[in-house]
Amino acid sequence: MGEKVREFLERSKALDDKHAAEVQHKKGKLTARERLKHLLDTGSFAELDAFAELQSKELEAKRRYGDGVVAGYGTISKKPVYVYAQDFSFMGGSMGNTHNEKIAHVMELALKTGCPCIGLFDSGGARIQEGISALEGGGRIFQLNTLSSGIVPQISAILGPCAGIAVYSPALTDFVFMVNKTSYMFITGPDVIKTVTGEAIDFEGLGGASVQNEKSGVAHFMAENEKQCLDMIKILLSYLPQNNLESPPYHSTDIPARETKRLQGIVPEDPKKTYDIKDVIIEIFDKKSFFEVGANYAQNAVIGFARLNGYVVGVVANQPKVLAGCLDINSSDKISRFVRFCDCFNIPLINLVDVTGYLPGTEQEHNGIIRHGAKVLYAYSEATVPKISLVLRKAYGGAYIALVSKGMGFDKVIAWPMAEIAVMGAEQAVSIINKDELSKNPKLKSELSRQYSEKYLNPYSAASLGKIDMIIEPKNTRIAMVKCLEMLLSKREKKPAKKHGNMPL
Amino acid sequence: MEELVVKVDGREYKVFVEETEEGKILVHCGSDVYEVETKKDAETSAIDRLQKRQKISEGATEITAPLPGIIYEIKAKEGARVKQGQSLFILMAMKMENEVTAPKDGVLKDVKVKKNDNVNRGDVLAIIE
Repeated sequence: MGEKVREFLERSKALDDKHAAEVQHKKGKLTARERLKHLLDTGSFAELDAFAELQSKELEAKRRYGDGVVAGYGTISKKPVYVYAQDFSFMGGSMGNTHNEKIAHVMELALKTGCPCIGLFDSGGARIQEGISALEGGGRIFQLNTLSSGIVPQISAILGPCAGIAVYSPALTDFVFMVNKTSYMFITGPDVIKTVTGEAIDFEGLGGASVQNEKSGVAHFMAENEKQCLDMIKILLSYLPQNNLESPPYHSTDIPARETKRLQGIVPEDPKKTYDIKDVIIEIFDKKSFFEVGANYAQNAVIGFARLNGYVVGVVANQPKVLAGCLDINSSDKISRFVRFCDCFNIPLINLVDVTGYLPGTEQEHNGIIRHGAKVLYAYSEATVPKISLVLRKAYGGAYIALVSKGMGFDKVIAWPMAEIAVMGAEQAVSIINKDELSKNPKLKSELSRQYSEKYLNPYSAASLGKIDMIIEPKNTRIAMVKCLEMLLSKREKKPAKKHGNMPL
Repeated sequence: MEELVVKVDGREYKVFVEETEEGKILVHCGSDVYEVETKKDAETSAIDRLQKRQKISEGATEITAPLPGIIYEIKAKEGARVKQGQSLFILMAMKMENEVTAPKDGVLKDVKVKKNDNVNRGDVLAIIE
């Protein structure tokens, strides 16, 4: 063996995980390399910039190959992905100059080659000792996150206590995964909060996985342990195309013409009774294909990926079981972001509608339901992917416009015979329309309501205007949806060119 | 594969639960493998089930109105023992009969509303101890 090769092998020994393993395993965590090994196909990982080191003179003593992040590429289910994983055992995974450059390097490659980019975060944020240049590196990562948005899927997993750059970069990506009880996200930690506001709060209460999944909606998935988290990323990727120029992967597992007989039993004919929309989703879409996104946040709206006769679709559904399935601030945010993701990556949208509308009340109005609700309108209007809407029971007023209307560009609208498509419910409607009559004789209300219900609370008045394409029996729902989708897959819609729109935020 | 610790007659067993591609649930215990049937939600994936966790808190818990609406029915009496998930109130809101369920096991105390009362989102309906 040549001298130079021997030296290289000697130097390479320093790339092992010995120190990291000592630190991480004690805490029941995996090292950066172990995480990547679990995430990627066996033997597929190729490391980049392994010998890159920090350049700062003051920190010379701490210098180590890699600078606290393992970056490179590999495959997941044989498809190429770019990855980086932070090493908490090296200076708390802090993001110094070289560290940031390594991340930016793989992000650039992912963008150039049209491959998904996955970041495994375990960092307290910018490396303070490297000063402003560490912040600048963060700015560059944000810039690349934004440039990549809508071109390649970007996925972040939070696998430790993360703050600063290490939470803002994930927030710019498409999906954020967290692990229960071991991962945390916050802008300022408990210590800072204590000194500023005097409030005593621990990591978990401030930014634990359940807080960020249930309350804030910052994270979309919560796993019970690291390996499950990495497995969930692989499942998510199985629904996504490599980039915005490809179609999502086709994978057929179910009979297209299967009758959806259970639906009639699941959805009560009495529109006042609630049920679990997830049972409906499971019955309609390909067996075991539904992968819910944001399951713990704004549960009055259910969103997720599923397959319909093998084609990936994005499902948006009202959940009558939670808050009557109403559209409120949080569910509006949840729906809009998902709709925009699906539109970016050529994933057709399917709405399952059963809702009377936006939630009334001062709390909602004062917090800007108009501004948030408008996002739903913007996102659907903007989306050019096939858009199919199924009205199960109620579609009133604003919710009709947002989730069903041809005016907003829904390509196919299907209704069940129980559908009630109207401007509003009977009692409210008559109290406005028949105000004078009712002021003279309030007893007329129930009779007038009955008349209104009979005349308007059905799918036929909308159908007579050509606003409902078909009315179907619940048992034919799947086959009708499959046909609609397959007829729309070749849809092309060009919108006027512009720099970009100004979405309400 | 999901690792679980199961306690049987005071002895702890470490088992691994695996969901196969065909949808079978296999439980590995030592060198033995058992196929098991799940009763509920057989169609939802294992991950989905793991995502559905509910927190159970200690002490007194307020039951609040999830929506602005009208109390349509009160289904449990003050002082009654209630179980987590049991339906306690029917709240008419958004033209639907919304169930308000017990967030945990306990005794229903201090029911603060009566039938046909208007409530706002967040109003306390009762307390469970």
